[in-house]
Amino acid sequence: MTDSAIVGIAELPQGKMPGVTPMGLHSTLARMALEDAGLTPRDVDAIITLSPRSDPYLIHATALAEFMGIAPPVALTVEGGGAAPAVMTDMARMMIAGGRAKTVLVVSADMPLSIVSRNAYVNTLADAGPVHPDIERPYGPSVPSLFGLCAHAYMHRYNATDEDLAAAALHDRRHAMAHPNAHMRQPMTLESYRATQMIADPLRLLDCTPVSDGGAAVVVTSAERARDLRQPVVRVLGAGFCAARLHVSAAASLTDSGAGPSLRDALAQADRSAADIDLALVYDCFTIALLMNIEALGLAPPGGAGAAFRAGEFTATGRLPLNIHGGLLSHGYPGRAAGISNLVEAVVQLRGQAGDRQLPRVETTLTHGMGGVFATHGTLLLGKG
Amino acid sequence: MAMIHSAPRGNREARPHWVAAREGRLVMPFCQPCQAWNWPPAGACPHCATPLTWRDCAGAGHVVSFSIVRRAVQPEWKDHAPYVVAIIELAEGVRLLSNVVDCAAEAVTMGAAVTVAFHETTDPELGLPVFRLTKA
Repeated sequence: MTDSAIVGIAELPQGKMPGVTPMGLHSTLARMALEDAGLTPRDVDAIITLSPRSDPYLIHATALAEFMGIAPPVALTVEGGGAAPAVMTDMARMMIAGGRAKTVLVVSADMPLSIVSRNAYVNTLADAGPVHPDIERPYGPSVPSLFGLCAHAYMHRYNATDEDLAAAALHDRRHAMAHPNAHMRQPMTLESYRATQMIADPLRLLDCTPVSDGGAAVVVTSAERARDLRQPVVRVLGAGFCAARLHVSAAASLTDSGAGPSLRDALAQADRSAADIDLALVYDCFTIALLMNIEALGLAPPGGAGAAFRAGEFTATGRLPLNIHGGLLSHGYPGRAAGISNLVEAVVQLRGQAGDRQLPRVETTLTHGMGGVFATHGTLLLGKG
Repeated sequence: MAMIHSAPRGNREARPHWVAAREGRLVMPFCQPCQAWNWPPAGACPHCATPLTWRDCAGAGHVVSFSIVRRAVQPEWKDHAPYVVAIIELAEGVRLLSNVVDCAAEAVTMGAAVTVAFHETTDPELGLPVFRLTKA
């Protein structure tokens, strides 16, 4: 297969973006990512986007092309939940490998905070999110309560406590404080974590992501062409996906995230082993999601992720640096676009452009995304060109 | 007083479940050849494509896990928080998501025995199976 590379990236500070429109944000990110690569909008022959909840169109990607004044032959808007960044990047690879496109622009952005409002967005998720519209919705489950079911089962199975959940939130916050694009940068302590209200037992407010405006754009082309462009080459080494079901009511286990096969397949495609991973960026829409995903990916033993956080194993100087951009929990949760920042941070680190956050040695990165309540998983492995 | 729930969608695969609940029965879809329950209901068995039959369940079960919703999101639930959303495993071996009702939310525990009860909905033809803690 023709190797692909990520040659352009763009991300703006996540959070509230007053005065910005969703299409304006998409277009700005697109132009920034193309400029980062040394390309122009006219070079784009395929666009892939997600349908933002804040701004629906019949075909969003085509509307974006129209907005930008370009007419790429391929414009696709996909549905992939939080696994979408891996889905979109892999689609871009396949288009390049198959000769369908040479320059694929991936834009993933949403403005649930400024355009929709936080409360309205949360309500939408309960009606058209991971809640089954027939057999679950009549019982009033909020999205946090679905993750709360998993958290309660996890704590019961492993004798885990709120200190394990807090360890994930505290880790992400500490790292977000050092990231200029992170949404939540005020200090957090175990005491301030515990002082926040219960949303859906056993999950408190700080076990949940904020709702943010934001997202990012990436440009994918062939690895061969990448060598002639502006930035250090970052290759897409492998991708893996898995999905066992969609709804919690169909889950065989409430304590296994099921992410494992996505990494196994990505490693096989990349011809790498788990020991080669220098940096992991793992999907964490709730603290319990981070603990369970880390364990399912084999990055900590079952029931052991909280202890690993407390022991400092996942800090920038630890055994395996993880979510050093602050994760969704503190970097931000831009609605449909959640998870694209994992990809951006991996590229920044592989290029050696992370400034004060730069890790000394990054050859191979893992970025993981999850759709629904542990329903689908997409894992990408990126490497230095 | 028991809450009047918003009616579930009555024109989908789960309709027999809601209709039976209005009559005070708990029925779940079952595949005879596979001897397996199927929930969420798929209409036909996903393994052998045999049409599913709706089989009566006795209504006894236990709490596999639960969460207490402190901040409701659906409008009809706003005045009812805190309430308990739980995964219930019936004695017959099938799991479903429901509410544990008629007790303090804090009284629910992992593994607690529960018994089915039935609530009315805004559709007079459709009821909703919910669960109560089983009295010792």
